[in-house]
Amino acid sequence: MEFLLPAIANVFTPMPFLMMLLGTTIGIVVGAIPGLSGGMVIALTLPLTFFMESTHALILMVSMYVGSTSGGLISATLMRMPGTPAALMTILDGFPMAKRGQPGRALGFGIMASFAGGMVSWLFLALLSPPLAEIAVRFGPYEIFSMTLVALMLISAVSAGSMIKGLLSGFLGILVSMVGVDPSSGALRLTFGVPDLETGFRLLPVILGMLVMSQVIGDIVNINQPIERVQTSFRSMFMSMNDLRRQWTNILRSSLIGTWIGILPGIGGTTAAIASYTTARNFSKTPEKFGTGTEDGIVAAETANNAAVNGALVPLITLGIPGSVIDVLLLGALIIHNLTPGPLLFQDSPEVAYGIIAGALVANVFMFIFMILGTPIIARLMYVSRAYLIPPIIVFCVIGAFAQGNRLFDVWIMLAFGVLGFLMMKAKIPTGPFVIGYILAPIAETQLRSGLMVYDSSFLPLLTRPVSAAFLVIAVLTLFWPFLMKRRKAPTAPAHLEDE
Amino acid sequence: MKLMRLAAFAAALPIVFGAASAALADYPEKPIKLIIPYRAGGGSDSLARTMQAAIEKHKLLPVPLVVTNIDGAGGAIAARRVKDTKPDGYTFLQIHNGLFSMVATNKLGFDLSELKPVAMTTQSCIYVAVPSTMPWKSFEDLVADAKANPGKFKASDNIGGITHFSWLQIMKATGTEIGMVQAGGTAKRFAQMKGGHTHMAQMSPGWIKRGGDELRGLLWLGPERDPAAPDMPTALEKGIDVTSCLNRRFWAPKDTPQEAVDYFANLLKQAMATEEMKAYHKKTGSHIVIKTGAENEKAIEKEVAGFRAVAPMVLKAMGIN
Repeated sequence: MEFLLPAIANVFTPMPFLMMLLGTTIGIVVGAIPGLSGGMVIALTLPLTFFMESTHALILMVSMYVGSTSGGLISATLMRMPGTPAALMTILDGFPMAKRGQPGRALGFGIMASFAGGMVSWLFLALLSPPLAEIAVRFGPYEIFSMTLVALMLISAVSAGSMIKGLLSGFLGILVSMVGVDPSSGALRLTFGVPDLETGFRLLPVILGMLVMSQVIGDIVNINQPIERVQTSFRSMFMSMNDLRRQWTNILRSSLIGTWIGILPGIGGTTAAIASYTTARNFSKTPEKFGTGTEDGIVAAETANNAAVNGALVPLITLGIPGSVIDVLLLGALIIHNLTPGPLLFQDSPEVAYGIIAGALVANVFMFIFMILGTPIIARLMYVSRAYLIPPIIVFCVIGAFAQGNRLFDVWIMLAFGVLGFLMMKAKIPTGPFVIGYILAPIAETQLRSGLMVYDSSFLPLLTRPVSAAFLVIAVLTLFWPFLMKRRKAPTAPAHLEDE
Repeated sequence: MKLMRLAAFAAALPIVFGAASAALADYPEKPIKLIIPYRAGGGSDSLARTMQAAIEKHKLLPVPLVVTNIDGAGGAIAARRVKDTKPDGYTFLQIHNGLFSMVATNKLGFDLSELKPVAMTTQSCIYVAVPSTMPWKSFEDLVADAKANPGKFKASDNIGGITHFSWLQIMKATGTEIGMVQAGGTAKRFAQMKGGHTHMAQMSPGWIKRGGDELRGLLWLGPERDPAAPDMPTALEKGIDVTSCLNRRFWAPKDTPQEAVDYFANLLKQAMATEEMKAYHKKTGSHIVIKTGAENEKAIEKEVAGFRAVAPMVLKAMGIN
């Protein structure tokens, strides 16, 4: 409380407030436009934050995160396209309901559910993070290594399509992260004598290429893709008390599932929506109605994906382990601002740690207001031709890649990863695991090797230290989970699923 | 024959142009570029940007000073870039003695004589700190305990970095064996010590204040005691012949005209005399130590020799033979 209330008050001072407005609005609009995603816009924003105060930068990015996760429901409902990957499950019931002539009601349920999911999970974020950070200070290299290993293993969960393809993508990301200076000894490796490679493949060129440029190339290839649209009317956008009474258990359950999946490092909104949707269907007395435009389905999906946003912030600010692909970008922003993500963030820079928490709360409220008021306008913006959007995005990608190190070489790297990402998407290899592997492998490697130095080259403490051992068990279970699940009913997610 | 003449012509080219640029009648007439080999937000960057603001405010330079960050490979990328730029007096490099650690471990990729030293401006000395939960009240306690238990105690460090060199010098001088644990920067070293995973680390002077009650400084590695921690004895006082300071210097490409080098050195002197730079050094716990010309070169030689002396041990720790 000592820091939280001032942090919330700080959001309402001019500059943070402007960042908040900007972030939420841009997030919602970008989230709603198919072909643009929250990850893209946040990646593009990252280089712009070089010159901002760190708290402002993080408030901007967090509100974009909240906005984009919510905005996706508009296009999911009205266009049958997920504006953002996390809205994938919303299509299943949102679109049929809208097509039936109740688009306002479908959107209303989605907006309310997003808000509720955000609020419930925020409580967990605010209440859980500070004590967790306090415990986490005690965690040694092996504990952090085991936790990171769990996150790496979750790659197999992210790639709901094919585990092999997911692992392939993840290993590729790990390989790319290895090039350059060995983080534990400072020695050079895998540079093949090319001096430019001594910096390794940096965060911005890789992320911009993988997440943004690849998508842009895909958009250029599919520029004439026809878009389905439904008759739009925005009546009855508010849920009634009766609706709320009917949905509150669903909201609570989906919030908990969403928060939990968010907290698990490495996976985020999309997985949360699938898990919560599947659970809601299993709990339902009328499971056959799911997929035909039931309100339960919309609520389950939209509550969980927003809940996952706040959940995923927990490991980021307490452990320095990103909870989802977008959190990787927030982690990057912290590093760029010379902050050390991890348990000491609360001690060293409480204004930043609590700034993120406060930002998540206020952004959620803003998101609700904007979505209720602005959806009719956004619904029209969604149909803007991508031909107008692509050129400025390419420009920003080039500038962003160049900005980190003032080297043209990085721009080529960005373009190369754009092509690689596009080819991977063509081959139905998800890019999410690549990014997770790329970010987490150096953390895992450094921690493991630091652990070996602390414990005189012995691996044994990995198993004898209880926290480390527990996470190792979870890591092994996570890896084999998909095999165990195969016997059960296949998930309902569309095949090209990819987490964000 | 023809080829020979061509070669002779080519060889003469730089002499002709070199002579032309050496005149430097109107130096400086275009923006001067200052390359920082680390990313924005770090210590090297903040020194450069504070200085740039001070130079602008006091109108010490008739042309803009442009600070550019080219990070990567511990600074080697930027150093290489500066070495390869046209020596016209419009490109300078600011880098601390991490440069010499790269020289000693052959990571720089070129000979140090390819760069011309301009001036040293800033010194921030390092000290050995232990978490206040450790029983050692003095460095002698630490040494006695470490001698009784070789290899038991660990230091959080940045392997291959300058503090790694000073640890090896300390171990050699005291006959102790302390395990190095990779942590990275001082914030991460602090985190490891606080978590109880390591027992000591070399820290930057800013931590005297920042570490509060949680750190205990045992040994100052500066040449003399520091006003910020007057009770902390120096290594030299204890008969341990080790000094370790982060010395920030400015460099230029080898063939940069002497006028330009002198001009820039003089600019640095003027900048360091401003209130802004004095405040900056106070805030970071560092000191303005200006060395130019022969004095600077001699200091460089001595520092490089210090790094070279323990380089084989550092390389061994890095896994390179």
